[in-house]
Amino acid sequence: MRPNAFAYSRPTSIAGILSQMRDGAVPLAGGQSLMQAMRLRLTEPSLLVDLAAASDLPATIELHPEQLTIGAKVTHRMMVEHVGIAHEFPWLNEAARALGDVQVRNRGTVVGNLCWADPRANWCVALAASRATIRCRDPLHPEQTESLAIEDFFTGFRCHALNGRLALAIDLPRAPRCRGVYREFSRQRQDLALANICIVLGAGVARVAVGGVHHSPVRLHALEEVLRVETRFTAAVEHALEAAFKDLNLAAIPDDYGSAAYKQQLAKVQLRRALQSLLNEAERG
Amino acid sequence: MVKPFDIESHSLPVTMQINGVTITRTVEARTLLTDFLRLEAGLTGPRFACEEGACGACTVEVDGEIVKSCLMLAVQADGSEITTVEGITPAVGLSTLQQAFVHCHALQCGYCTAGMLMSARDFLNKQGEREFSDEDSRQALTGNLCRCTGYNNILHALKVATGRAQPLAILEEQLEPGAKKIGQPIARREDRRLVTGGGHYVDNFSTPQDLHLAIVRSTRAHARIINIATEQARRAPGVVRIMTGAEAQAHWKPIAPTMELPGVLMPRAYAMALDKVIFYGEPVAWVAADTPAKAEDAARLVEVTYEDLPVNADMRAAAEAGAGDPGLLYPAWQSNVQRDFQFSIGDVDEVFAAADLVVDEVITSHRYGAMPLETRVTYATYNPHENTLVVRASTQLPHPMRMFLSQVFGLPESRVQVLAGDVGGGFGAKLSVDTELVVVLAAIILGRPVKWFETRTEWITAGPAARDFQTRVRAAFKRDGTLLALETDVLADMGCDGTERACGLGMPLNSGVYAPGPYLLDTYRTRVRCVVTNKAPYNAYRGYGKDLANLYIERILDQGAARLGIDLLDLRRRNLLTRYPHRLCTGPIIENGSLREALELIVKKMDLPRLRAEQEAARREGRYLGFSVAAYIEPAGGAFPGSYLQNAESATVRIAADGSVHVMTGIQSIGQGIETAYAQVTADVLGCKLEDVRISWGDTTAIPFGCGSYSSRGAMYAVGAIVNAAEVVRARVVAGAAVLLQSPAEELKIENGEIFRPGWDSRCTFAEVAHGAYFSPGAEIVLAKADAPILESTNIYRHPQVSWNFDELGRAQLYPSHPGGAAAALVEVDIETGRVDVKKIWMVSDHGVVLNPVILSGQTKGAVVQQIGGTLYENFHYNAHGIPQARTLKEYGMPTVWAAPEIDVFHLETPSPATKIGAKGAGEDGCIATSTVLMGAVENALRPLGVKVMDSTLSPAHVMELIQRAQENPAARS
Repeated sequence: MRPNAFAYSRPTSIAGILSQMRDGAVPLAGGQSLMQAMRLRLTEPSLLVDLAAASDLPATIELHPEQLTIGAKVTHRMMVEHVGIAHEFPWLNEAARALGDVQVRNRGTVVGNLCWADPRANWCVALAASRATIRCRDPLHPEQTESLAIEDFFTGFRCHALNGRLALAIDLPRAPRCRGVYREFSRQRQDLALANICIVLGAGVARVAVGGVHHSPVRLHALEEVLRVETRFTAAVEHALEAAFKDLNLAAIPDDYGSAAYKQQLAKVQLRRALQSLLNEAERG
Repeated sequence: MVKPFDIESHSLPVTMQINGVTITRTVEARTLLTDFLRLEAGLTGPRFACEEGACGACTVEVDGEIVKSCLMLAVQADGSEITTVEGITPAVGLSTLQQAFVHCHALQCGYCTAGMLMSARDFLNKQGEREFSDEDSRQALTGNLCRCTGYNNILHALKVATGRAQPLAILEEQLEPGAKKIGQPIARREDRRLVTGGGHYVDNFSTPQDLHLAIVRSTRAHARIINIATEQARRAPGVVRIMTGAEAQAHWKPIAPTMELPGVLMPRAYAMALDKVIFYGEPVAWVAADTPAKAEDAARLVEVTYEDLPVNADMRAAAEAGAGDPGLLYPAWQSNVQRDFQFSIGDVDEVFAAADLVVDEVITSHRYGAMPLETRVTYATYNPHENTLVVRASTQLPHPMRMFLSQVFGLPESRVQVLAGDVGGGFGAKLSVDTELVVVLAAIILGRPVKWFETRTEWITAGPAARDFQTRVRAAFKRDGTLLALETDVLADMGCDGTERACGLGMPLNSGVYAPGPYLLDTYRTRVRCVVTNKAPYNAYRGYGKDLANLYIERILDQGAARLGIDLLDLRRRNLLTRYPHRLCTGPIIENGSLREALELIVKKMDLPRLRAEQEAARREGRYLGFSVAAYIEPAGGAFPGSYLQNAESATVRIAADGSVHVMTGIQSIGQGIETAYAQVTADVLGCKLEDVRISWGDTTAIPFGCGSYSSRGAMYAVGAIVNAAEVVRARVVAGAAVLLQSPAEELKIENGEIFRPGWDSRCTFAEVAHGAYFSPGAEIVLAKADAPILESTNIYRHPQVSWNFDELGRAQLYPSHPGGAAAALVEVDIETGRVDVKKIWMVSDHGVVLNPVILSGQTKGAVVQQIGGTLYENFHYNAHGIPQARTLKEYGMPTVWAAPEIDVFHLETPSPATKIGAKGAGEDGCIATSTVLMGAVENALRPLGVKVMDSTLSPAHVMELIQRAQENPAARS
C-alpha cells in the first residue's frame, strides 16, 4: 500500500522543526520503521517533518573526554564503521552489526530506532545497558535543552516519554574499562529479535538489559548486584540468573513466536552464554 | 547537501539525477521513490513485492549507498543521484556481475534480480580486492529475498564475478558447432532481459488512462453483512466508481471452478461476498480511482456493518458440524466436509490384528504456502465497441484463464485475450482465478484499463495457502521389518474452499493415493476428509500432496525401524520396490527408475560412518547433530478428469523465410527456463542452430492451446509437442533440401543449420530452403514432395501413460510419470533454544533424461529452500476468531539468504520409456522430501532426549516445547 496523504516539510534548523511539531506531526529521520508502518497504514501522520536539512541537528558520533555523543542523524552504518566505538563500546558495535540489513543500516538512525521504542529493537536494549541519556527539546520551550535518562524513557510497548519533544542526541558516559556484549535470538539471522540482551561489566559496574520479555526493555538489577561482586561465573551468578525474572512484573509481548516463558528462557540462555564467556575471558585475561 | 523546504506542503517539486539523466517533477509528498522511478522516470528495474522493505526488490543506489526505495519518499531523494539496475548496465553487453548471474543460473523468475544485483554490486565495490567469505556475502544480501533459487547460485555468482570460482553454466557460443544441445548446462537466454531490469511483468505495462483498483476486504472470518456504507468513499478525491458484491451480482456469474472432481461439493460463490463473509479478507467491494493511493484512501472510508457468526477456525471441530449448525460455511451442504474420499484394498483389519508390530501416529503440519515474490498483479482492458477483453495477468495458465473469464463474464472465448509475459514466480499459487475476476469486472463496467497490484498483506492474509493437515497413520510390520499394511486417515483444512476458488483439494487426495510410496504393499486403507473452515482458500503448492504422502510413509517407516531396532536404511531396503514397472496398490504405475541406486548413492555421498563419528563427538561436547535419509517419488504430469489438467499440450514450430525458427508453446514461463531448455530440444530435433530458435508463450491469441504450467509437466508435454511439430517441419526441410541439392531425401543429414549429403560437396542452409519454400522458386517446386507447402506445424502431445479407465476400486493412472530419488539432511539442534540449524541437504534425483542440468539442479535447490522455509519459519497462523496473525513477509517468515544451507544435488538418468526425449518432468522434488528429512534429522539429533517429531512445524519455540515435553516424561528416553 501507499501511505496516507500528508504534508511534508524539511526545515533548515532545529528551531524550524520545533516550530512545526504539533499533534499529528511526526519527525522523519531514516524512516526505516516509520515508512513500514505508514505503508501498512498503521500510522497516518498529518505532517512529516524531515530532519535531513536541519544543519544544527548533529549527524556525527563524537567521543568527548567524558562522554560519547550520538547525534540525531547518525545512521546504524556510521555506528558499525566507527573505530572508537568498536574499541571502547564493542556491545554497541555488535548491536549495530546485528541490526537489519545493509539498506536499512544505510538509512536508519540510532535515535530513530530508539524513538520507535520497540522493546526488542537493538538500540533500545543496548542503550538501556549503557547509561544513556537522551537530549531533547520541547517545542514549547525551544531554547531549553532537557535530558531524559534511558531508565525513564520507555513508557510502554512502542511508547516513550518524549511527549512531543524532539530528540537531539544521545549521550553515554565513556566506559574505557568496561567490557560488554550484545546478543539476540531471532528466527533467522538479522531478523526481529525474539529476545535480546546487553551486558556491560567493569570494576564495580554491571548493567544487564533484556528485550523481548516485557513491553519495554528490562534491567535485571538483582543479577547486576551479584555481578558487581562476582568476577567469575560462580554458583551465585548462576543462581541469580535462574531467578532473574522471578520477581519482575512482566507484560509479555503477544506474538506467534513463543510464550512469555520461552522468551525468558531465550534471554537466560543468551545471558548465561554471554556471561560465561565474558567472565571466563576476564579470568584468563 | 539536502535542499531546505521550510513550508509544509502536500506536493512539491523534486529534482533527481537518475542514471545520469536529470528529472524534475512536482509530486505528492507521499510518493514513494519506487513509484517515482517507475512512473516518472519510466524504469522497470526497481519493483514492489512487499509493504515493509523486507524483500529488497526495490533496491537502488542513492548518493552512493543502497536503499530500499519503497521505504523512502521521492521528496527525501530531492537533489540526489540515483542509480538503478538500468544504470549499471553497459550500453553494449552486460557488466561482469550481471554476466556472473547469467553464468551461474543465479535467477529464475527474475523478479528479485534487479534489487539483488544492486546489493551484490554495492558489496563487491566496497570489498574491492579483499577476500570475502560466504558469511560476508550473506550479510550483504540479507535485505534481498529470492523465492526461486535457494540463494546458493547467487552466492556462487559473487565468487565468479570476482574470479574466485568457475561458472556453473556454459554459454551458447561455447558449444561445439553441431554438438548435442540436450543435456548441456547452457546459460539461460531469458536472463539477459531479466538481469538488466527488463522483463514482461504485468506492472511494467501501463497507459495514461489506467484506473487503479483497491479491494475492500472483510475484517471478519464469518459474519453476515448488514450494511455497506460507501457514500463517504464515493466523495473521496480521484474515485471513479465503487461497487459492492451485491451490486456486482447482476454483472457476472459465480467463480469458474478450477476443478470439478467427482464427489466434491461446490460453493458456487461469487468473487465478492454477497450477504455473508466466510473468511477474513474476502472481497466485499471494489474501489476504482485514478491512482493506487487514492483508491486505497477511499477503500478505507467504506464502512461495513457485520453481524458475527460462529467461526470455524479448527478443522476437527468444523468436521463435526452437521445440518443446521450455525457454523456451517455453506448450509446447503449440511456439512463442512467438501470431499470425503475412501479407498481400501486387502484385509486391512486382519493384517493389523496379526502383525508383530503396529505403529500408530498422528502426523501434522501447519499452514503455509507458495509466496512467489510477484503477487497476482492483474491489468484488464475491455473494449465495448468490439466486445473484446484483454487481460494481462501473473498466471500459470493463460488458456484456462481465458476459459474461466469467458464463463464468468459470458464473453465468447474468441473475444478474450490473456497475456502472461514473465511471471514473478508461481509454485502452484497462480493456478486459480478468483480475485482477478474483480479486476476484470471493474474493467468491463468502466470501459477503461484497470490495474490491481495485490499488496503483500492481501496475499498473506487472504491469498492461497497449503499444507495444514492432521493425519493418523497406522502401519503393521512383521518382526523382520516387512511392511504388511498401512492405513491413513487424513483431515485437511481447505480454508473456505479447495476447488472452486483454488485447486488445493487434490493435495490431500493425492496424499491418500500416494501414501504407500515406492514400497511393496498390497494392504492399505485410506480416508481423506477435506474440511472447510473460515480461512483463506487452499491452493496448489509445489509438491501437491506428494509431500504429505512422503511424510506419512517415511516417518512411519522411521518409527517402525526404531521400534523394531532395525536400521532405517535396512528397513527401506527390505520394503522398497524390486521391479519396474511397479504398480502401487492404489493404482498408479511407477514406470521405471533407480530408487535403490539413489538410496545407496546418497548414503555414500553423505559418508554415514563419518557423520556418525561427528555426531558422537558432538554429543560429548553437548551438541546435538542429527541426520536422516528418505526415498521419494515425484508423480509428474497430472491429468485429471473434470479440470484444466488435461493429457494434452500443443506447440507450433515455424521456420520463417529467413530460416529462423519460432516455437510457440502453451506452457507458461514462470521462471523454469523454458526459453532455453525448449530451444535446446528444438535445435537438436530440427538440426538448426541454437541461436536461430526463439521460444514464445503466454499470449492466448498467438500461441496454440495450452493447459499451463503445473505438475512438473513441461519436459514431457511441451517438449513432446515441440518434438512432434519439429519432426513434421524437419521432414519438409529435408524434402526441400532434396530438391535444392538434387539428392535423394533419405541420404540427407541436418547439422547445425545446414543440410548436406555426406560425402558430397554441396550443402544448403535452413534459410535457403525456407526462402525457396516461401518465395522463390516457391513451395510448389521446393516442397512439391512434402506433406504440406509451409514450414510450420502445430502439433500435440498426449502422454501414453495416462489412463482414465477407472477400475472397480476406482483406480486409474492420473500421473503418467514417476521421477524419484532420495533426500537427506544434516542438522544441529540447540537444545536450550530449540533452534534447528540445517547444515546440509543432499538430493539424488532421477528425472529421466536431463534437458539442462544447471537449470534442473537450480529448481531442486530452490524447492529445497522453500520447504526449509515452510518447515522452520513460514506460518499462516490464525487465531481462534479466524483472524490471520501474519501480515508481512517478516511476520510470515520468508526464508532469507541465511536460511539456505549447502545443497548437493546429484542426477541419475533412467530415460522415460514413453516420452520421445526420455525426460520425465521435474521441478517439485525439493518440496517433497525436505520436510520429511528435516523432521527425521531433528528426531535423530534429539534421540538421547527421547523426542519424537510428528509435527512438521520446526520453529524454535515448537522444538523447545518438544524437548521440554520429553524431559518431563523421561520414560520415553531410549
